[in-house]
Amino acid sequence: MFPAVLRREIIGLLIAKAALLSALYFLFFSPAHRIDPAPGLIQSHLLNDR
Amino acid sequence: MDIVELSRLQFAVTALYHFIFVPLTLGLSILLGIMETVYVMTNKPIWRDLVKFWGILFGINFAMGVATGITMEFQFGTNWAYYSQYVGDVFGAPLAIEGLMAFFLEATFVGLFFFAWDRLSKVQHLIATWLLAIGTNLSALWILIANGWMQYPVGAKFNADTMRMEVSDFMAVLFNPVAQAKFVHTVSAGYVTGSVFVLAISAYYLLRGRHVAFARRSMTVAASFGLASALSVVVLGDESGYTAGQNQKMKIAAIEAMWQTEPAPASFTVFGLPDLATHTTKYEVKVPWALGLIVTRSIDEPVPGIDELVHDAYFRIKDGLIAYDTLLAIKRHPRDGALRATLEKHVGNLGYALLLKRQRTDIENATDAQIHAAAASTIPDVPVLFWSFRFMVGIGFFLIALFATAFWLSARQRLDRYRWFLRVAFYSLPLPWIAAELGWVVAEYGRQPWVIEGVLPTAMGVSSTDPGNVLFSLLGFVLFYSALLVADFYLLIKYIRLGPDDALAPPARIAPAAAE
Repeated sequence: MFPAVLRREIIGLLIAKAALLSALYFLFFSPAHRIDPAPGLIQSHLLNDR
Repeated sequence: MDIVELSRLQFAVTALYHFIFVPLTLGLSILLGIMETVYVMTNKPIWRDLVKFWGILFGINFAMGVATGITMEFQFGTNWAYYSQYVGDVFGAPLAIEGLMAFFLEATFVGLFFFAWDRLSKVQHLIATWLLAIGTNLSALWILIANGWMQYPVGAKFNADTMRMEVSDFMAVLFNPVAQAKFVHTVSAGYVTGSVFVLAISAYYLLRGRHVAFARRSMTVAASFGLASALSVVVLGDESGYTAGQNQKMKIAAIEAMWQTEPAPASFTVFGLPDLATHTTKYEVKVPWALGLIVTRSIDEPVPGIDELVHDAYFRIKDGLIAYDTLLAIKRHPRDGALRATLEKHVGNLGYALLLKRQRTDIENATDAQIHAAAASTIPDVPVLFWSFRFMVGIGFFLIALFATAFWLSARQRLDRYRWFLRVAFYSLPLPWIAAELGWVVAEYGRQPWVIEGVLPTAMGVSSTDPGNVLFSLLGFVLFYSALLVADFYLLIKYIRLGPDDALAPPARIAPAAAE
């Protein structure tokens, strides 16, 4: 659809974006980095913790 | 102001600011596609100038829209932590898809639109422009799927083990009728905004006798696309009214200032003065049958009034308290199947019981007076909704008349003959923004006291943070966004004053300006 050079640039850009997003995910947001809210705290917000 | 009021105010301020830019981006993206299609079909350079000039104004607005939108997503984490925890499993998915779509589709093709004029053939650039317009509109789709779920929470269930809402049917979330109705209504309003913008600026040029050929063509496109869009807004807004009538009866009753149930066939109140003290609306002017047709699509169904809905809420709170008591029991006996069956039966009204949290933490001990007060708290701000809706609709009908006149004059090639019309077109410039902001007030302020209709009261969704932090960031947003708005107006006015001839020449100046 697009000229070969531009097609390569667009594909390269999209791959770079995907790589950047993946890197951000693995560096800062993967399950290993996630702090699960304390179950007790969640319950106490909804239920009266007694 | 407490943490709830401050958090609500901060979200309202940022959303209303953001929504100054969004409708124009939605509308101009499609208009650029239409203008460039004409350019490709006719091969006349003036149409390329149209695309490039309106494209510069689109670019300025697009950049401001992105800058003001990002902070809103972060607020879900900073100010609405319990909301994010309670419904994040449902709400997070469409929000994330919207972000990815904007990142991959919109951002990629906005780059091609501005910087690939000389590297693509005409047809290829046209495809890039349409993909930009489609990407922009798809972003709106996903954000409105998220918002639609807040208005009508389908496809999700409460999980007693994780104490939060979780997706049970993603397709139901995706094809939520409220979200679909809101999407088409909102994007049509955006098309109207884009069309009024082009119409008003073109009228300004014609009044000054500048860029006449350019302005006439711009006005012709804006008049025809604007007329179709303005008619669509009304038709699709009617669909939004119907879905709200099915799922948000209190919102409809408040918009109508309808305190008592309206017997079938229900009348629509065109004018009146809502009186909160006596629960009446004075000096009502009504259109027979109209409300029944809009809200129920029938003439034999009554439309419930505020007082009846408050009465219903009282019983829903009591039913919700059974679910709440059962949850407390499940906490002590997590494996008791009978308790879980009881919860399943009453969990639909759990959110109503949570309305009592505003008054006391041990809601299972709530008094009858507190339950009555919680039921009364389900009434949104009636006068604000009543007037916001009527001004929004009034502007909508005025814009239909404006576009119809412009279309008629355009068809007879008399656009620049009537200066009074050009003045009306120019001074109409702020109207679609006022209507869009009022529409946001009707949709979101009208949903109160719920952040998720019937599921989670707004007061429960906030973070446990110091109100001073929220106040500080709120003041920061106001200052920063005001600076952005000034920059936006400065750049738009600068390029509008320059006009297409100066703004597009020399070409070397276009790209940096558009990227600012």
